Amino acid sequence: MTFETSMLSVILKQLEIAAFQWNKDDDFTPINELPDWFSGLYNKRMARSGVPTNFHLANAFPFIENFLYDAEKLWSQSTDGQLHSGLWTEITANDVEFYIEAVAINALQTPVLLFTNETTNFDVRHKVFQTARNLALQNEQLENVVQLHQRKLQQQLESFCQPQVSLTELSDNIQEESSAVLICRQDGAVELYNRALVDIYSLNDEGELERQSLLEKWVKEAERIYPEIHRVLAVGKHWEGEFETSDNGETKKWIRLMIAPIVNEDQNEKIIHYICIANDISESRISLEEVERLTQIDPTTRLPNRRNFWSYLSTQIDQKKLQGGNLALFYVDLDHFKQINDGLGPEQADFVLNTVASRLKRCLKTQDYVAHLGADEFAVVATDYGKSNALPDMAQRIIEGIYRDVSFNELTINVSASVGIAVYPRDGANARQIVKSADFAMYHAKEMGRNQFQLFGPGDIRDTVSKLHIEQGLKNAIEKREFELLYQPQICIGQKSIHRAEALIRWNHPEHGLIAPASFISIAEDSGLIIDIGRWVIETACEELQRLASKNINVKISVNVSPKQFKYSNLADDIIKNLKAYKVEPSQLELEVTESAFMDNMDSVVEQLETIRKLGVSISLDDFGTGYSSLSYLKNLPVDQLKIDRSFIIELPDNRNSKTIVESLIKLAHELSIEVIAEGIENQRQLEYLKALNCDYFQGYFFHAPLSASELLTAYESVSIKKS
Amino acid sequence: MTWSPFQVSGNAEHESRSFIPNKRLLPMMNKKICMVGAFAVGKTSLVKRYVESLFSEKYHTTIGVKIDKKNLTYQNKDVQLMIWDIEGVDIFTDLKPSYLRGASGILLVIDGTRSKSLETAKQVKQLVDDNLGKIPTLLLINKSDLRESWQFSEDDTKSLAISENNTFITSAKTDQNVERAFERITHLMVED
Ligand SMILES: Nc1nc2c(ncn2[C@@H]2O[C@H](COP(=O)(O)OP(=O)(O)OP(=O)(O)O)[C@@H](O)[C@H]2O)c(=O)[nH]1
Ligand SMILES: [Mg+2]
Repeated sequence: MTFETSMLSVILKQLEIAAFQWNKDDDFTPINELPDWFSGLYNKRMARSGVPTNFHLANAFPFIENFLYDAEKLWSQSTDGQLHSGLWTEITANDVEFYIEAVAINALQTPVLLFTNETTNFDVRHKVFQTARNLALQNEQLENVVQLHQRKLQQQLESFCQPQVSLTELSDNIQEESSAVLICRQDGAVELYNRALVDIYSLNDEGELERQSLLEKWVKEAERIYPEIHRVLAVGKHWEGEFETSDNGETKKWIRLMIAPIVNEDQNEKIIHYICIANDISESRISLEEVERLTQIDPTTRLPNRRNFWSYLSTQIDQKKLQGGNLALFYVDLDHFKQINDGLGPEQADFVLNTVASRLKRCLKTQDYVAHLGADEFAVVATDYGKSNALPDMAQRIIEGIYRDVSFNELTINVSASVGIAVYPRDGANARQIVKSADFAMYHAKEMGRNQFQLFGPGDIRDTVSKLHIEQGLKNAIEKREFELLYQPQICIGQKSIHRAEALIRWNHPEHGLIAPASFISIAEDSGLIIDIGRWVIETACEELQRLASKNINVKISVNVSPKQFKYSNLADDIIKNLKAYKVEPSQLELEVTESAFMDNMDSVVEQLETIRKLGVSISLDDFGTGYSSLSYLKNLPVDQLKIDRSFIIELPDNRNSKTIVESLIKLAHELSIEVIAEGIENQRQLEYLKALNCDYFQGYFFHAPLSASELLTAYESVSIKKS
Repeated sequence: MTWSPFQVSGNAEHESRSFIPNKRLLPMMNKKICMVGAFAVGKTSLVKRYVESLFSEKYHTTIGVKIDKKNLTYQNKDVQLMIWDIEGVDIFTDLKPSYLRGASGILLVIDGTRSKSLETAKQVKQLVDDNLGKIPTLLLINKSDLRESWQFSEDDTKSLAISENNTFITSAKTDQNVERAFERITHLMVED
């Protein structure tokens, strides 16, 4: 067996499919290793055991014997195609019901017969039909009541409508009748009607009824399902039926109508009136969609819908309240689904949703509950997960289960999801609070970069609410001069005399006070505001350099740039413009880029950086070691400085791992003639350790907190680093 | 439909097919009966009553097909009935003609309390006639135990063109006429 064929065999078995090649007559050879359910059934049917080489499927299953007539017809054709048998039921030895469907396929001109086990999907399908039929039964009963009433009414009216009786007398009697009544002449001219008729047809003024012949309209509408209506009426017989009609506002309704001709026996059975009785039965007509809504199944994914989710979650929580125990809710939201929907159209989007639904089901235990809440939102409820440290594993399984390509005819897209987890009773006392908590946690997961999960933490709500504030405020912050740059000096111990500082942005929010960049930069990046903010930073730093220069202070300032600035703005132009405007030496400016800047479009970023470097501006690589980059790839990047992330420094010199990383980073950087800056220095021990490794620059509270422009000036003036 | 009723109806065709070896070897006669009609008229209940002598008030609608077997002796001949309980017809579900293929007898079931089930039966009968031609067919007017709420008289069923001899008023609940109806169809099929 080749790898492909054994792979195929395993896949088929996992999907619980039994696949056969048809040889002739009732002779089949299995294509894959048969799933147990099938072998069990077959052996029971044939009263045998073991695995035969050839199978007699028609003999074992009379349903298949019948299906083979159609299948053989398909197999005798040369084109590829498939044919479904429809569902049938088999009972196992221990009285378990199996629901099976057979599919005949022409695959590469080979006749193939598949058996799929539909037992797991059966319940959902059955529930839909059961509900539909139960409802239909109820509606039939209701319609029976209407029918009975109409017939009684008709008899009463008929006895009234004798040639000698005046119709006006009748009119008073029928006004309050709940069924609509119309009495007209044979040509349709209205003689009498009641209020219920006006209601059904939403008639504005009663003259309308006189202008149009309702009888004619009815006959036309009924004709679509009852072509015989003309004939029945023409011969003076009474007619009844149900059909769709449209009222004055073109709203569709179902009515049950009875038309009874009144003949004048004296005048040779001539029809003198029609008595028409109608009832609006729209409410008892049900559509499949309606049924599915009622059965709380989402029609796209066949998962329980939002309504079912709420009732399930509430009942489960009520139960836990009584019996104790925990419950976990996973709120799953697909990433960038809007793009899929907009880009590919609703059909493909449904396909994606379906795929995700089945992936979700597959990666969970059968007792876990999955619902499709609508659009790109899914929910998983686990009531039986053991210890709470099982939750991250489960979330990871969900994320990995979903995170795969989905292929269409000619294109492949990548689907991922963000997951928020909340636990009852820890994160909320009722269903609503649990959902809210899980939703906030999910939002947090999106914030953290998507395709990941977050457990709910009490900060999440606060964070999310303020995030919305932040986004609003950011829009005007530049104009309102709410940003400020602080400068944290980078110290060099030794002979080198270059003085450096990193420019750090702060936001003086009118309500929230000073906001650190961690809280708003990602929001600014998402909304695109980062471009303007980035420009402001460069300009402000250049302005400051000019001011310092005027005081004869010669420093180098490094500014942080966002990956988006490479992508969506012309960074080099912005820099050239500002260097010129503020008469700043290029060597006094440094750009700090993070590894993530290279992730997106490495070639373009490298190219832009090389242009900028040629100007004389230096480049430093920020947060090195935290991301994806390997040391070996460092040599390909146009950088002059490397910043070791504070997370490694904090653990120095006690943590062996951090030590190894820092040591090798510094060694490698120096081999590549790259200088190293350690940030986050907080104590003497860290400093001593790094000094021993020949680290070039040090930054941190041990030396200076970030300083305002004026504090920076004072600091430099006190050590008097004047321009030479 | 493309298949001809003469080719496939009845048993002859089945036995001539070479891929059913056991049927030629066994002396037993094999007859396929189809339970057809509107949803919820009691098709499944009638089969269950006949084969297992059980009845349940709970409505568990059939999806697709379920085949039950019943062995009996008719005039010293061993007969195996293959009873196809076919999903009922409703607005979402039509009777699939392929399920009828090879049938030797039809039990057309209506629910005496629901006039709609008679309307459906008329359409079903038409479909059966179109596909199988003249074939033993019984009309079972079921739920006779609810006779006080019956919707129509036996007169109303005349349009189905099934003779009185072949019409049975049954109840899966009280077991009225169930056995007799199956005996009758067996008789018709064996004599056919
Ligand atoms: N009172 C009474 N109820 C019956 C009788 N036969 C069936 N029922 C009930 O009618 C309902 C429908 O019966 P089923 O046997 O499931 O009907 P069916 O024709 O198989 O329905 P589908 O499979 O949906 O087409 C059930 O609730 C039965 O209990 C009967 O003779 N008398
Ligand atoms: Mg049934």
